[in-house]
Amino acid sequence: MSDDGEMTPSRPVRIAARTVAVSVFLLLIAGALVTSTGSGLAVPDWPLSYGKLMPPMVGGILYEHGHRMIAATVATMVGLQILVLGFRRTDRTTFRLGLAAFGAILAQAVLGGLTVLFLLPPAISSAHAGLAQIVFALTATIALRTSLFWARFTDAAPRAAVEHGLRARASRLALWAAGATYVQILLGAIVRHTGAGLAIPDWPLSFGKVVPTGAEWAGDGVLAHFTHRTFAWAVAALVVAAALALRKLDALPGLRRLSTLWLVLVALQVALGATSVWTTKAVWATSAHLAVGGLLWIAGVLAAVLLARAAALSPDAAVAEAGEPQEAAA
Amino acid sequence: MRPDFRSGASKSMKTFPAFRPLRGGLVPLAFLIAACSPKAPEASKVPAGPPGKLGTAAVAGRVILEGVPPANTRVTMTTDPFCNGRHPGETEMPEVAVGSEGALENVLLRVTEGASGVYPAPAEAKTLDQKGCAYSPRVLAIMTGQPLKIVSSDATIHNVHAAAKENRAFNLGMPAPGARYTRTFEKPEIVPFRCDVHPWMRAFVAVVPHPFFAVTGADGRFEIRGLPAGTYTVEAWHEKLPTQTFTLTLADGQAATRDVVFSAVPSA
Ligand code: HEM
Repeated sequence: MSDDGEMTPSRPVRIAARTVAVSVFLLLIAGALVTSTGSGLAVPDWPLSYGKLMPPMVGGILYEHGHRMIAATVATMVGLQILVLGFRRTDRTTFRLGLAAFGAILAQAVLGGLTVLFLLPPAISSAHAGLAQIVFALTATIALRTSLFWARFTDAAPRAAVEHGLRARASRLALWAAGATYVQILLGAIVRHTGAGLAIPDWPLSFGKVVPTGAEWAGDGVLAHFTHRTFAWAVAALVVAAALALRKLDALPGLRRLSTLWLVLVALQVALGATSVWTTKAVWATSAHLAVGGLLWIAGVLAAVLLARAAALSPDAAVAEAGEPQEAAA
Repeated sequence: MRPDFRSGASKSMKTFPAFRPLRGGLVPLAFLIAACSPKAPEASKVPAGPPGKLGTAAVAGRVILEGVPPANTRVTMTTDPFCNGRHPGETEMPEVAVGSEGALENVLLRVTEGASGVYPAPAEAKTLDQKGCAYSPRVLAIMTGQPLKIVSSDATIHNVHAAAKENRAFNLGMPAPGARYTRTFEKPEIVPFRCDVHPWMRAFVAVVPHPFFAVTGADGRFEIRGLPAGTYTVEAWHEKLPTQTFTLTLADGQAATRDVVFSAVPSA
């Protein structure tokens, strides 16, 4: 195993990592459909389903048991990915990310089982939603670090004419944007799992006003729902600022495209949030809102990872590293 | 032996071998969650207090809905061939079921003030059936401690999810016709029941601490008997319409008549 990301991974590694990341995304959509169709308790037992490996796939069982089957397949794939990463000599960090992803998906299965057995307590269901996005981030980062693009980026970064200040600023903004998106995902999970999705029936206004008043606050879920829809503006502002900062780093490959994608995703996500309200939670709208929320978060994670990589490989980082022993000796 | 698909955390965890290595961490976690849950299981208690009295007064009447009834939900049952066979095409859910001359079905009438003391629960069970992918009856009232028998007459799979708040919530699997469970509830509340396999299925089981209640049939009629002389507040509850109350004073042997009128809220 090599040190961090120094070699171009072989084709099987690249294919495996990409397949795993895409499968995790599909699993996320399958999970979204379970909640959006209200099928979370269509199978009352776990790990078996009505005491069987394969119950009749009717009604809500199709979504709940289908989600379980897809999850079992994807968890196996994440486990096998460790073997591929280990045997095909990827770098140490990527291998550790593979281990972390497997640990996280096992914990995810336990949370999924517990939430069924305890009849969907919002805390466990929200934790299940939050950990799903961590698994997605880990597998997407592995796919990035094992891609040909990563090798090209690694090649170009030390020679890229990028101003240190601009890069550091973009890096900070990307971290803030990704962090805020994750917080927003958790807030969204609370809204969804406490049944507060329609606590405020209109959008962009709330009960016809900018801020709810008086007795409106006493309504079930109004506070959680209002926090989620208001924090969305902070997320959108941070994502726009970070995406614009990425555009100033033209010398680094891929960042302009990532920036465009990020801007499109944030606009789409706000529109889907609004559509979830306007359609009184149409299954397609709430599921797409969860899925695009995941993509928005991944765009932030990948931006932050790439900028950290660029910082580590930049000429000023090399100078700083070379300077350190001298300073220590002095 | 019939398999039990109860959603009981401790039971299911014990039967899953893959859990064993994780048990050290999971068991305390499960206890923590159970301890934090407001619905922690409670031992069935015999309520203490002076015995409640029975009398000879009664109140009867009719519940009607005035105005245009609100539109009921319409569903298609294509996700399950069995249900779709029973109800092909679009089916209207009997949320607001209005008969001739405005007779309103499925209204629960219960005394909320005026009855005191402890009443023993009847030993005979009341039955909640699942028939043609609907609960039958949709609204059912039982006494605290009275057995509720849950059965399925359908040749399809159902789950019975009782979303109780005051009592312990549960979720039971009913994989085949003939499956049956018996449950009791110790605290008064109206427990919503749903089937998550067939999300249109809804029932409401009212748990009342005394025998002074009734549920209207298709003719909208009700009768509450055996009341001792006194002043009572009676609540008329409907799953969709705002609750109504009335107060009346009854003498021994009196048979009072009270009609209850719900007004359909004009749709905007
Ligand atoms: C731009 C940032 C946003 C992000 C990242 C985001 C993310 C999410 C996520 C991930 C969920 C589902 C959580 C889960 O169960 O796993 C969710 C739920 C929800 N979000 Fe957002 N959201 C955003 C903006 C908005 C906006 C502007 C609205 C408008 C009101 C909105 C309305 C909702 C609603 C109603 C739900 C619950 C849907 C349901 O009950 O099924 N969101 N959000």
